[in-house]
Amino acid sequence: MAQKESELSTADWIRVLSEAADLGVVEVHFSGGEPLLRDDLEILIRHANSLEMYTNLITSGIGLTAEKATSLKDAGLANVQISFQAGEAKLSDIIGGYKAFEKKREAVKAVKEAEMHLSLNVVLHRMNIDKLEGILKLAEETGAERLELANTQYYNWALLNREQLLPSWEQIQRASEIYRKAKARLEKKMEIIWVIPDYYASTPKPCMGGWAAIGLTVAPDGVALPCPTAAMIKDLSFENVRYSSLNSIWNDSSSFNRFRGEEWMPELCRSCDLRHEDGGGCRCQAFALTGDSFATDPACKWAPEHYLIEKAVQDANNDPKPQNKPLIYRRHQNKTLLKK
Amino acid sequence: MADKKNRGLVVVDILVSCFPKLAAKARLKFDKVREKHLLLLPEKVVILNETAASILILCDGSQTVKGIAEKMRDSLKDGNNASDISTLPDIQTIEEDISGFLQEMAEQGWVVIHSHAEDK
Repeated sequence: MAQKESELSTADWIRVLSEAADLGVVEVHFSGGEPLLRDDLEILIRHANSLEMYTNLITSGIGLTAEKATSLKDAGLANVQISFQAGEAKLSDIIGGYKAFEKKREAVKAVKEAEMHLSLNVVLHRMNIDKLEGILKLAEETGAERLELANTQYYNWALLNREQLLPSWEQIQRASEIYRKAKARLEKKMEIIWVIPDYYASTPKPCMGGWAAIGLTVAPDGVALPCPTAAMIKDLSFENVRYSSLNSIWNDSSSFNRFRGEEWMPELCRSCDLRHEDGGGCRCQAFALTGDSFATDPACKWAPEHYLIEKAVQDANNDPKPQNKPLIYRRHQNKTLLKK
Repeated sequence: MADKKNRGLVVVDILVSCFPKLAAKARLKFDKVREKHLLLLPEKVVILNETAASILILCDGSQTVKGIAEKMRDSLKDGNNASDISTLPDIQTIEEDISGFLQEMAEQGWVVIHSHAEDK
């Protein structure tokens, strides 16, 4: 979380958006933190829209009134993605850590009334994955056109809470069956995206379509990253758009070039036929689990550190009941909002 | 075979008098960096060829498929020498092609087919 004073100014963001358009960026996600907290959001959306970039707002929904939704739509906003933690208030508020469910529902209504494209995003884990039907029902009721069911991936906070969050294989299978049926039934009405956790895939995913390959993130304080979580890789330093142009960061910075191509790969990946598909896997996951950002992603079944994944999966499947340990929240650290 | 053809014709008949409109979530853009026509969608970018882009630009909800087909034929004519006009497809073939294309676009949810012109 960046302090307000250290966030980029409106003029900075306007410049960054223009530089991004010149680089060939055609789609922008205003994310956060919470982008609705910025007073200049409408100005930035209007600017991105004038550059013919497709604008998405990624939000908790808190603070998205009908009036706000209309003004953002007038500024050119095309798509709003609202996060939910569950299909009903009680569980949603427990997981989120504060009473947000009803406010999110109001935000959803505001988006629909403003006639913008509505996406819902639900991050799935042990605590809500068995309630998938409720989530689908909520999505249908709200008239969402897209629903992202993304199982948690375990890097930062999720890694700290992995014991409580990683579902069992049985839970994943049950949920994926519910997903398959819903996808077939709602084919025309709603696009449903389903992402399983890396821990249950035998090969890693090509994270972000490859390191600094198709997209980039600019953090609120101006740090330019190849992916939203890359700042966690502590042995890499990232440049800031306050001091360098986006063009030079994209093309010339050592951080963006670090994991491009195949030169950097460990021998295991370099000699593997799947290297073009997964690019060695996720660098954040490699760093989080092994402390070495150059390692083969341990999600890969051939990785030397794959036993780390196997161990976590074993634990998740040996004890199918929720753990007693409290969740560690990002903001209210060590406050125990979840106790069973 | 005959059956298939008939079904095809029914679809065309319904469509030529309809008013296609680009879906609210979709945006058309000519990308100067890549020199390509793009259809921008939530979490998706579709690269369009010249013809597809020219058709979609005309899908503003105020003109029929028939009208769009005529405009497309006129622009084909403009792009050809007078002597080549005889080699142009006839208007019915163009209408059928465009209807088929729009049908696909509608199935993807990228174009909405209205039976009446949009009030401006």
